[in-house]
Amino acid sequence: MTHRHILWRVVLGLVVFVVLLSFQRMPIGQYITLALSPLISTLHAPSRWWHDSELWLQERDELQKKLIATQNLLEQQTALIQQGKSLAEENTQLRKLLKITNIHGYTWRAAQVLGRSPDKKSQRLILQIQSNPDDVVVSSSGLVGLVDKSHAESAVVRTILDASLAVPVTIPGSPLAALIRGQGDHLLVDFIPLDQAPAIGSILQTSGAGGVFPPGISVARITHIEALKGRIFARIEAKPIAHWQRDNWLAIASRTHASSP
Amino acid sequence: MSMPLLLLLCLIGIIFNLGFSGVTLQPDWSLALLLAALLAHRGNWLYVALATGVHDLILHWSLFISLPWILITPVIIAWSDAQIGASLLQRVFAMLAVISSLFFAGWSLASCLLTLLLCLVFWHFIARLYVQPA
Repeated sequence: MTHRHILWRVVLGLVVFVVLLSFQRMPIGQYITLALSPLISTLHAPSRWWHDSELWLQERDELQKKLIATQNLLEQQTALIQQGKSLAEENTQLRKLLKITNIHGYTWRAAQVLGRSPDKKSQRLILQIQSNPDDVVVSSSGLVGLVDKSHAESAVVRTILDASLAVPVTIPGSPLAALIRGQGDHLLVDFIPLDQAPAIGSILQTSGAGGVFPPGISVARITHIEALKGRIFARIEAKPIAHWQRDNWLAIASRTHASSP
Repeated sequence: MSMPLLLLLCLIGIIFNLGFSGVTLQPDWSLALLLAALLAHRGNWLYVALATGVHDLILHWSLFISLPWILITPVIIAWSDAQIGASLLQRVFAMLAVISSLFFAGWSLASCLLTLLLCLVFWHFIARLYVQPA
């Protein structure tokens, strides 16, 4: 009877272990995080109300002054946009002449950061935006990561510090082709022979290989290079260029289906 | 302490962690509460383990952050109570071990210390609920 009892316990333990392992493999955490996003948004509501009430209580004259200043700014920006458009047109023509492929096929949108994982580097983010899995997330300074799961008005983002992401990178103007992998608090740059290793402080950009990340986005700055005995490739460590730990707004690049080559 | 109330408070703690971790330094509210419930009465291990699993899944997308330590803790406490007698010493070591798992998961040292202090406070209050009148 005792042996049977022990056997049952062992079987039960194994079943629990298998269930835990299957949970580990499924994206349950991502789904729960998405389900919690309306609650997080509700929690932020008082600060939004406070901000709205502050605007409401501001003096009329002050608001009028701000309106005039904003209108002036808008006029200046409209002129700048016109100038930008003509420059972009000129740039496209020049690129055609030089036979360089332009970055086409991405739509850029801004998204507010609703929440983030509490580890030091904020390896996962929740954004308030409707998006698709594998949309690219970028801050004002560089690449942040990829949308992992999305639902309704929220999206969960896996940053480049996550070990499951690999980003093909290069240094502009060089034949270098490497892969960056997340290590939790830093990045590892794979497949660079020691004699071809760029200098410490060099900035790696997305190469566009694989078609997931658009080319030309700054990803990481090299911080450490080490030769490994008996290995072809050097151990190269890097730090992300983007600082998303405190940014309230990030940009999302969604691939458009009607992309032109 | 009633289980639904504890689980509700944990969920609120997790939402606080997700919502404000970029704004201010904060402890792991839910782990502090769950660990305190476990230290106050090791018979709570089952729902504390389940809630810790959910906590790990939401905050770390992995089950192997605090859950293994939470599962080992009641076994170690029961074994050490039988060996050296019931005392605070083994419970304090268990608390330090569980909270150190946060540090290895990338939480800042200050957040871990805040969690430790919060856990002590929760432990004190939850333990009072289990005190039997003489």
